[in-house]
Amino acid sequence: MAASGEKPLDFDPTLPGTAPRAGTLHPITQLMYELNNAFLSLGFEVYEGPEISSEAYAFDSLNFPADHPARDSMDTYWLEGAQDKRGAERLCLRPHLTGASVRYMQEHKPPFRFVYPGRVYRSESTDASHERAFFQYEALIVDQAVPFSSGRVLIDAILERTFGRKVKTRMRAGFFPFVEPGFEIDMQCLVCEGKGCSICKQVGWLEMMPGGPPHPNVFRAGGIDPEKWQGFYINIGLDRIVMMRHAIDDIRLFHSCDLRFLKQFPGVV
Amino acid sequence: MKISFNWLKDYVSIPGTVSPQKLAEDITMSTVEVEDVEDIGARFDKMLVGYVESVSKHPNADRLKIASVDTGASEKAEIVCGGINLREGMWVAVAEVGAMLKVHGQGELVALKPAKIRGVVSNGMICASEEIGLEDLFPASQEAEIIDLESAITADSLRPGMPLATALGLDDYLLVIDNKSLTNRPDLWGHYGMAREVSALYATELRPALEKSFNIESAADFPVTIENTARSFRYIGALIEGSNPAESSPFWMQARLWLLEQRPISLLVDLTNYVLFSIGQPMHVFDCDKLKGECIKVRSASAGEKIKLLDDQVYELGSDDLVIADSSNPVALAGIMGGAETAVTGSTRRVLLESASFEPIGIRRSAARLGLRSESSVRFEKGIDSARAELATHLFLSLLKEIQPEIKVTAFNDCYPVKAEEVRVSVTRDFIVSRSGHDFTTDEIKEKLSLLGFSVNAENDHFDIVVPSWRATGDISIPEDIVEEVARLYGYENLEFVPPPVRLTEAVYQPWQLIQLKARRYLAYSAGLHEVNNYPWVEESDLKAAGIDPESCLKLHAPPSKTSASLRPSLVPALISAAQRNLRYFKEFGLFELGEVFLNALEESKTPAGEKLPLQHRHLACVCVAQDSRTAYLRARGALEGLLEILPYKDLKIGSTCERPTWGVSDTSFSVDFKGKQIGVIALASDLSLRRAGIEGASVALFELKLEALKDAGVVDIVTYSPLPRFPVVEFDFAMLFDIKTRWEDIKNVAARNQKLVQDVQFVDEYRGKQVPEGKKSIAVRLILANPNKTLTSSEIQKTSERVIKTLEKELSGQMRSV
Repeated sequence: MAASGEKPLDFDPTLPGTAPRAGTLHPITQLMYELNNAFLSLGFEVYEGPEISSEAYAFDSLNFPADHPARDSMDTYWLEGAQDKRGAERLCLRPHLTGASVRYMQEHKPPFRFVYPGRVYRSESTDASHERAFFQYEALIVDQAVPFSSGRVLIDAILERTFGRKVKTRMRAGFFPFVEPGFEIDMQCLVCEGKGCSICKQVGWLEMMPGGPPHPNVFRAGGIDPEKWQGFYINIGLDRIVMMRHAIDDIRLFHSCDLRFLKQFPGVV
Repeated sequence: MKISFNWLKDYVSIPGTVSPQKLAEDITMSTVEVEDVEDIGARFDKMLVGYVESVSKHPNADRLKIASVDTGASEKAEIVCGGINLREGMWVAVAEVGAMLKVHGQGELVALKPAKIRGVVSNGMICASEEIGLEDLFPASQEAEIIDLESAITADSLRPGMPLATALGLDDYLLVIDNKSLTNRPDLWGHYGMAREVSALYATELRPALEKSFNIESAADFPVTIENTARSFRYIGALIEGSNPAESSPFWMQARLWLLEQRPISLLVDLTNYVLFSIGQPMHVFDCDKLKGECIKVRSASAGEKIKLLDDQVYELGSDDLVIADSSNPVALAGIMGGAETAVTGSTRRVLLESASFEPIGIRRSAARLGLRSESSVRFEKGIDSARAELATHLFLSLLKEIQPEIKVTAFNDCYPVKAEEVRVSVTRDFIVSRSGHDFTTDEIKEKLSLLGFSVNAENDHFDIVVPSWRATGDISIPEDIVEEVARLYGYENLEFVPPPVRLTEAVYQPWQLIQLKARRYLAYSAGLHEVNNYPWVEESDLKAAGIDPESCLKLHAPPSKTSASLRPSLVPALISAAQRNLRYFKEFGLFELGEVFLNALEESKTPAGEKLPLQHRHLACVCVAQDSRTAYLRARGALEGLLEILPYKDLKIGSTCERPTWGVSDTSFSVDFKGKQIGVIALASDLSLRRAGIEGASVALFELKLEALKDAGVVDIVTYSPLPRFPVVEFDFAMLFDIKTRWEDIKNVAARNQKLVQDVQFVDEYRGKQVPEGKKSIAVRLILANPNKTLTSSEIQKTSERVIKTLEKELSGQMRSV
C-alpha cells in the first residue's frame, strides 16, 4: 500500500535485479590466493616450476633412491620416449612440487623464503577421494637458525590467517626421502571439531601438511652448504583443505568443469 | 600391515592405562601412521561357550533336535539345532539374540532374532563355523556341521558362559598400519620390531624374542654355497629330521595367524609364517629328499631357466633373478617364493629350513618384473639385517621342538660371507638443539637413543653412536637421522616451538604473477565467466573436434586411458568439450581456464642438470556459449576487449583478421597482437567443430592467448593522463544504410579519418529487416565532436558531420536514411 502522497509503483520491486553478475574463480584458485596473501605478508616470494620435469629434478636431486617405487610408471606419468632414458633426459609430469625448490635453490643465494603453488600428477585409479591431478602448495624457508619445529608455528599462523580463526594442529613423525627429520602436521577437522565425521573418516584429524628440513643431499643438489644453512619445507594439500572447508565429498569435481558445482563458490579474492 | 595387541604384549609391557586406541595414537605421533584399530572381540559379541547337557528330538521335524545347553546362566538354554554332529557332552559355540552372523554362511552379517522353529522357541543358536566367519579355523568336513570346540581347545580350559572370543584367544585388537609409512623402517615389519618401538615409547621392559638359543652342536655340515655374494649376504640351512609333517599347528598359533588373514596350512608352513610375523624374517622349508645332490647353491638364474613356484605358475627367469638351487635346478626364487617341486608335503621325512638375507634392490626388481609380490618379498625389498636370519633359525627350531620334542637337527650350515658393517654416527648436542629447536640435555639424548637400542658414548656434549643392526640397513646413517630419533621419541608435540625468524618486509607479486591475478579477477568478477581446470592430458576426440592432429602432440607413456595419451597443445579442445557437457544444464554461459600447454619441441637447456624440457607455455582461454552466434561471439569479444584494457601494456590489442584457427570460422578470426606479434586469436567455432564435439542448437565462440608472451614483458606501461575537455562536447547522431558485409571497424576508421574535431565515433545500434532493402543494414552512428581550444559553432558541427557523411557515402557506399 502506497503511503499518502506517494504515486503507485509502476514496476515490481521483487523482480530479479539487472546488474551483471560476477562469475567465479575455481575454489582451489581462491584458496591459493588466500594462502599467497598470508605468505606474502610474512615475506615469502611466490615462485613456480615447470609441470613437465625431468627425473633429475623430480627424483635424483631429492634423495630418492635409484630403485624407489615412485619412479615406476605405475606411480608417475612418464612421457613417451622416456623409458630407456635416465636423469635429465627422462621426462615426466611432475609428481610433486618439491623439484621446483631445487631449481630455486640453484638460482638464488640463501637466506630466502618462498612458496610455489601448482598442480601435480600421480598415476593411480580415481575415486571420490583419489585424483590423478591435484593441487599442492609448498613453502621452503632457508636461513641460518630455523629449527624444524618452527614449521608448526608457521603453519598455525598461516591457517589462522586463512581460516580467520585458530585451527588446532598436531605435529607428528613422518617419512619422506627429501627431508630429514620428517614431520607431518595434521589439522583438526573443521567440520566436526575433531569429534569424527565422514569428511575426516571418523579420525578427527586430516593429514595435510608433510614437511621437514631439506635432506643434506637435497641442499647439496641445490648448491647450498648443509653445514651452514638450515630450514624446512611445508607442503599443503589444497584439494583436501578445500574439500573440508566446503564439505565437498568428491575430489573429482575439481576437474569436472561442472558449472552446477563451480557456481556454488562466489568467493572474492 | 596388521599388528595384534595381544601378540605385542608377549614381548613388551604396555602400561595398563594405555588402551589399544591410545597405543595407536601414540605410535602414529612418534613412529608410523596407524590407520585404524579393529576390535576383533566385537565380532564375537553375544557369543558364548556352551556345554550340551542333553539332546532330545524336535516334535515337528526329523532333521532338527532340541539341545539343552549350559551357557553359564541359572537356567539351561533350550536351543533348536540342525547340526548333524550335535551330541551330549559337546562344547559348542552359542550365539545369543543380537549376535551378528551370516545365516547359512551366506550374504551379509545380520543380527540374530528371537525365533520359533517349527513351533519350538529357540533360545539362541548353536553355530557352524561359516556362520561366524571361522571356517578357516574350524573347517567343516560335511554339511550342517557345528563347531566342536574340543577339536581345538582342551575341555579343562573351557567353562560354560565364557565369551567365545576369550575361549578362542580372539579377544584382541588389530592395529592397521599404513604400509607406505613403513617403507623406511624394515625393522618394524613384525611384532617384535613394533614391540621394541613401543618399549622405547613408554620406557618399559622389552622381553627377548627368544629366551635361549637352540642347541645345534652335534649337527654335520649341510653343503651351502653362495655364488652371488653381491645379492645374498647370508644363508642358514638346517636339516631337520623326525618332524611329523602331517601334524597341524597348535590352535593358539593358528588363531594368531588367522587374525593376520593367514589360513592355517600345516605345522611347518604355519611356523615359517609365525616367525615371519613375529620377528619379520621370511623363511622357507624344502623337502630335502627332493633336493638333487642334497645341497644349496645361491646363484643368479641362467637366462631362460624355468621354475614352477608354489602358486603353481611356471616362470621364465632372467640372469638378473636370484635363485636358490640344488645341484642342478632352481628350487626357489630367492626371497620371493619357494618352488612347487620341492615343497614340503604330508609325506616329507626330512626338512631343510632356510633363513637367509638378500640384497633388497635385486629382490624388488625381480618381484616387480615377474609381478610376484609376497609377504616375503615386501620385507626383503626393504632390507633386512643379516643378524635376524640367525635369530629366526633358533626361534623356529625352538618352537618346533616345543611342539614335536622328537625333532633333531642333523646337518647345519651358517654361510655368512658378507658381514654387515657396523654403522656409526657422530653428532653434537648443539647440532641436535639447533635442528630441533629444543634444548635437550645430554642425559635426555642418551636416554632416548638407548631406549631405541643405540649404544651411545657421550663426552663433552659429543656423542659417538653405534646404530643397532636392525636400524643399520640404510635407515640411520647421518646426524640428521639422530635428530629425528631423539625428537620423535621425545614427542614432536612436546618440543619448544620457536617462531621462524621474522622478515620485516612483506613480499610482493612479480609483474607476471600480478597479470595472472588481474586476468582471473577481471574474467570472473567483471566478465561473469567461471574458471575451470582441465587435465593436462586431452581426449583424442576433443583434439579432433578442434581440428588438431593427435599425432602432433606430446604423449604420455602410460596414460590414464588409451584415448588420453596426448598432452594438450591448446586449452581450446577441452573447453569445447566442457561447453558441450554444461549445455545439458545451461543455455548461456562462459568458462575460462588459465593453464599450461605443452608443445612438441624442446627448449634450450637452462638448468645445471642440463635437462631439455619441452616448451611449456601458460595460456589463457575462454569459451562463450549462447543460442546465437552474434551473442556468443560478442560476449567473447567483450571479455577479450575488457581483459586487454586492464592488462597494463599499450601494445597489446586486437589486430586485424587473421588466418582461422583449426576450429574457427574465417571471417570471425582476429588476431591478438603484442608489440606487433600475434599472441592469440578469437573466433567463432566452426559448424564442423561443433558437430564433432556433439554440440547442437548452440553457438560457441572462443579466444586463446599465449599469456606466456607477457611473462618477460618487463615494466608495465603507466597511463598518461589526457586533460579533460575545457569546452563543451557535442554529440551528433545519424543513421546510414550500408551493404550487409560492411564492417563497423571500417565505418569507424573512415569516419574518423582526417577529422580534427571528431573525438570519437561510437556505435549506437544496427538494424536489419523489413524497413531496409534486402542486402542492406542500417547503422546508427554517433560522432563525438569537440574543439580543445574553443566552443564549437553550429556551422562547424554541420560542416564536419556533412564531411563525415560524404566520405562514408563515397568510400563505403553508405546511403543516408531519413530519420
